[in-house]
Amino acid sequence: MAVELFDGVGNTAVTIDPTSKAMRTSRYGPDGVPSDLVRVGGYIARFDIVPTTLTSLTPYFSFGPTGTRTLAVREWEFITGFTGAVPAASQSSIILLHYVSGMSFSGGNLTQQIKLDNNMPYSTTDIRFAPGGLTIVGGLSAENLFSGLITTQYVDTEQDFEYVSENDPAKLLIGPGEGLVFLSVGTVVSGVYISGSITWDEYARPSEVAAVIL
Amino acid sequence: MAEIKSGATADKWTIDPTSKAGRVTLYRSDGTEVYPVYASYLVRIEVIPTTLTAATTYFTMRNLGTKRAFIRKIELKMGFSGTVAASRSLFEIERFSTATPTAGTALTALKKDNTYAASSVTDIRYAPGGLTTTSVVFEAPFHLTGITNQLTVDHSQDMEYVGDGEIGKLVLAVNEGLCIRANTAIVLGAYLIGSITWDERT
Repeated sequence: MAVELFDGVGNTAVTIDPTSKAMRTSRYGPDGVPSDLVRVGGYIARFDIVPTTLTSLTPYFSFGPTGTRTLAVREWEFITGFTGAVPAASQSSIILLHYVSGMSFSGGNLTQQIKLDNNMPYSTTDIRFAPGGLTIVGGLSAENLFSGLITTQYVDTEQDFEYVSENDPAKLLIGPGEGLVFLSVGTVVSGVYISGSITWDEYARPSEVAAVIL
Repeated sequence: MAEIKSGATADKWTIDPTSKAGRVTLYRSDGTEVYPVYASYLVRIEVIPTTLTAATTYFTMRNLGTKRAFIRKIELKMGFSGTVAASRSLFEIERFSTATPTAGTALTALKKDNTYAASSVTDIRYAPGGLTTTSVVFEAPFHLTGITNQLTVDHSQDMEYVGDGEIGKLVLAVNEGLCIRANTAIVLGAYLIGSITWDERT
């Protein structure tokens, strides 16, 4: 005798897929949070940091949510190099900061967020850059994620920060009011550059993401 | 004895005879499958520019078949073998649509397993002097890469769009393509080689 399985809450019957004859199941943790999250979309954006303002604490590139979505950074991928007149042995420091609250950026040029799949909805992330420096709104309150020393010689390098795995906890979370910024520390030598891209997911249910990731 | 039957069709649940395990397929709570079945492909990249002007298109691959292509990895190596200059040669990577580039040398997608069907990405080509891109509509670049025009700066770059499911992958829908173009004027001697790996499913 064939029986159908129904849930204990509604009147929904389980589905057996017609080709594999496999039953559909979804993974949940014991707290009731789904293990395979439903994302709004995945996005990627380029950046090209070629400083013209060379003084310390100049923000060149910022990245942060504008609405209620939570961002989960998958990967930073970039090259660093130097095209200037080679000075005596020196380094330039452009670091990546994670700012947490009371801080945002204005000015510069907006960078277009590219949907990983054009069927996805538009991103709500604000991404901007300025070789001459963005304007900081609020005080500088952040933690250093990456100390980016660039030797001012002809020595291109690649950096690849991957926050991915088969599970969500590996990702770097950026909640509403938070963000990331590339900022100089000390005087930068003219000719330094950082070029690449950032890839991230956006989630509509930040409480759900936080329950899984944090 | 009871057999478990689907609520959607007349199908009954299978218990595999050797393992005695019931078959299950993982779905997210919105009904999308977590681990769909793919075929996988790769092709080499060879960009050694002789036309050096910005916006020249050196490499393209366009999905003209019936499946969606999920870019898994772009693996690059950059170098410089020309007369040194205090500048950089910068390339951009972006999607395109609407028309297929012409001219250049054609390439064929390599199946990672020869039992796979032929790739849906049926038009792949490159040209040191630049491809013809009449009527092609380019999206904004999503990645910038390049090299300082010096002799001792060779480096690699490894962009992986992998992880938990396909949402993290860059998608080429039917009629969309991927290309590598000059973002700045290129200095003769700058080059970029490597490969692109992708999965496909309907």
